[in-house]
Amino acid sequence: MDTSTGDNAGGGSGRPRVKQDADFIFHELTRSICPECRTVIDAQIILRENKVYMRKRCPAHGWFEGIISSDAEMYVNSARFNKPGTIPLEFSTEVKDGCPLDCGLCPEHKQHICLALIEVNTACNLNCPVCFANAGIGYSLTLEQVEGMLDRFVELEGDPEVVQFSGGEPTIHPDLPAMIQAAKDRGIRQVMVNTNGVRLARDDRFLETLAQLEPVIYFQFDGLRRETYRTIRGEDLLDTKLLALNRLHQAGLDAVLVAAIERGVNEDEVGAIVEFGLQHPAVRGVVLQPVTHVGRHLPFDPMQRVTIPDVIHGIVEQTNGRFVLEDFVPVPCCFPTCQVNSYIYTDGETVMPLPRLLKIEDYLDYITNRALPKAPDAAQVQQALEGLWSASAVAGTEKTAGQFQCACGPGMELPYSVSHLKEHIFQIAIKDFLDAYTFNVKQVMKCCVGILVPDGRVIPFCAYNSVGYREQIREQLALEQGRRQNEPVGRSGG
Amino acid sequence: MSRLEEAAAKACCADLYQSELARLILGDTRHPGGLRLTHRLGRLMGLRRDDWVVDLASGNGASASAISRAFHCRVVGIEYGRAAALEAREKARAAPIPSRAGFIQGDAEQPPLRAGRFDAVFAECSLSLFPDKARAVGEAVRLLRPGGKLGLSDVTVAPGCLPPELDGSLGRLLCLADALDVNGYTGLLEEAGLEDLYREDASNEVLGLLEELQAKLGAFTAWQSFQNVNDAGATTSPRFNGMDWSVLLHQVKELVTAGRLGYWLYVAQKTAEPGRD
Repeated sequence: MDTSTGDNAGGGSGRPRVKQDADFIFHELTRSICPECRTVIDAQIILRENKVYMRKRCPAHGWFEGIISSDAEMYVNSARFNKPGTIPLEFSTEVKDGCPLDCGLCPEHKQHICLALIEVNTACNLNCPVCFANAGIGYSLTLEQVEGMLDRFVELEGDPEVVQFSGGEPTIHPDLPAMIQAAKDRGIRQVMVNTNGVRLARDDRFLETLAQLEPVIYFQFDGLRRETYRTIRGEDLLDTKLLALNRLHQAGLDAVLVAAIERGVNEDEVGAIVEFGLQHPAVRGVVLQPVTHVGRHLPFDPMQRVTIPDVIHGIVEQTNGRFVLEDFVPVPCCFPTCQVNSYIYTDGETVMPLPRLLKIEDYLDYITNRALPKAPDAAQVQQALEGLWSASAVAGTEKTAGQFQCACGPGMELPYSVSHLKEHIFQIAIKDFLDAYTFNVKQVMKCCVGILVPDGRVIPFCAYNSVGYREQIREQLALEQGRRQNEPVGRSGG
Repeated sequence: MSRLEEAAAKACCADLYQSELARLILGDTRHPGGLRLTHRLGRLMGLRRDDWVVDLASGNGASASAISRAFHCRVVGIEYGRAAALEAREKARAAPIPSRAGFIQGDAEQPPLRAGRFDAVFAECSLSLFPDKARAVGEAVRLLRPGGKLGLSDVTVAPGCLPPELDGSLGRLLCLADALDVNGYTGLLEEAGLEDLYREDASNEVLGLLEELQAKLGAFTAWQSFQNVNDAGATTSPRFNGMDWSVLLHQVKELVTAGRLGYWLYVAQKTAEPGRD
């Protein structure tokens, strides 16, 4: 063959002219946004050295790459835990510009809302360097607005599962108790309050009121080192957190610890957080969330961020062999790469993860193995597991305890009646919310965590934070509030 | 049934409803679907701010208070059981968020309230318990203003489908013994001269309730057998009238799935033209 002409003329490199293999596997093409201008652009998902990256190009801002999972095998295997979605009773918007620009939900959304958030205010009693909601000046919703949003949630869902009040800092909103009551009066099964705990540590009367209303407290708790709080929250909050948790226990309220996990700050504390939660009498579960780099956040390297497998490995390595990787199973109601859960039976000495008692994938693998096990109660067990492995599962409830009992069936006899059993069922959830580097339209389209907006929309959480909805809505609500406050007083008097 | 027997039946029901067993089975609102269905009924009745509303057989008052707060209306709860009426008053007094619900002890078949004054009257899972249903509906209609709404949510039972264990006191507790079939309630409302009748099947709530109950009883069984194993005794499962709970639950579930047993919501309107009734 004549090779003397053309491209190797000159032969400067001296390298043989042989085709090279790429150092990655091209896994799929999806859509994302540009981290600079938020324009929707194509994105490649590639697997390299058993890690998963998103690679994308904005015509105006060039190439971007970021890690989305540090364990490619886990990432790819999770695909089979993908449950068919449930269509909500109503949609609020039309398909016009395509996902994620028509949110609210649009008729192309693939799942209903398991968990609805209401951000009742933007003000906070802390000023953390890390805050996805970018708390500060903005708006404070009225009770009437919140009632309207709850009514809308009832219209959309029929039997709404969970509402979480968030902010800002919801405990400093004077109408929070009335809002919790309003959710309960509409038959919403579980009401949660997402809080930094500062007011719980200080205000006896407020705590008494909450104790009567019995919300589950979604309690920000980033670790057990003072330095962790100084870095993430800007001040040492450890004593305040511990005091608030003890007071919650005295008041008979249940808490779920919620930790923001950041590389180089507290990734080595995930085991300690789980162990602390297992021991503390007020704590029914922990939610570990890699820090979402939206709103306010520390400087970060998109190639080095914490992902779900990092947290799982962290728990396994930092808890003296109490947990194994297989104890953590993807959640099928949302996109299965978004969240993993585990449930543990604990009575002080015993710590028994549910996935050791039965093979969860026998029931929650919807793709490779469609036949349920032959056990007589298989359909019920599946239903119970679907309840537990859902974004609407709330730790520390009788419902969760009943589902746990049903799932482990004859596999293990639990020496408690349900009202006591709930104190012995512990939940671990690991949730990876999207930021501009990891934003994947495929995940957003099946998102089941939504933010309720006073105009009747409900916007998938990660779209709200990354695409620009948060800024738009905040500005609009602040403007409306300004207008309301400038209206003459006594208009009802005619 | 004689007046005496009727009075005894009402008192018995009221007692059962105050029992811990009822609380275990039905939760705080004592009916399938809890406050979710209460709220649904309120929406179907189109309750508005400052409406005057009556809750017939208001029990511990949970529904009346929730309706009052959610729709910003005034609710009068009537409860036959004296203890329940007192409990409802006490709960309303101690509630962290006040409501405009008040409670009186009285007979829903002879409500001590003024006729033609109320915007809505509702009865949740209670008409099925009244010995004289036509009279109870007639009294409810009498309370309504022209154009006012009557809302019912109740158990429906096809005639003759109940297993023997569910006749008698357990059936009474579960509102089954005297319940009508789906069309029975429609007939009652039509005979009372109501119009614009709307009905909605909420039987899936009964299935949900049965599943919850099954999980609770499952845990109870496991707990008992654990106790018994510790005492080297035999395993037993909870019984009622000599009947195994799990078998009974299974039977009830099949009846619901077959559409023989259910839970329905009904809303109808008192005619707006004066003189027609």
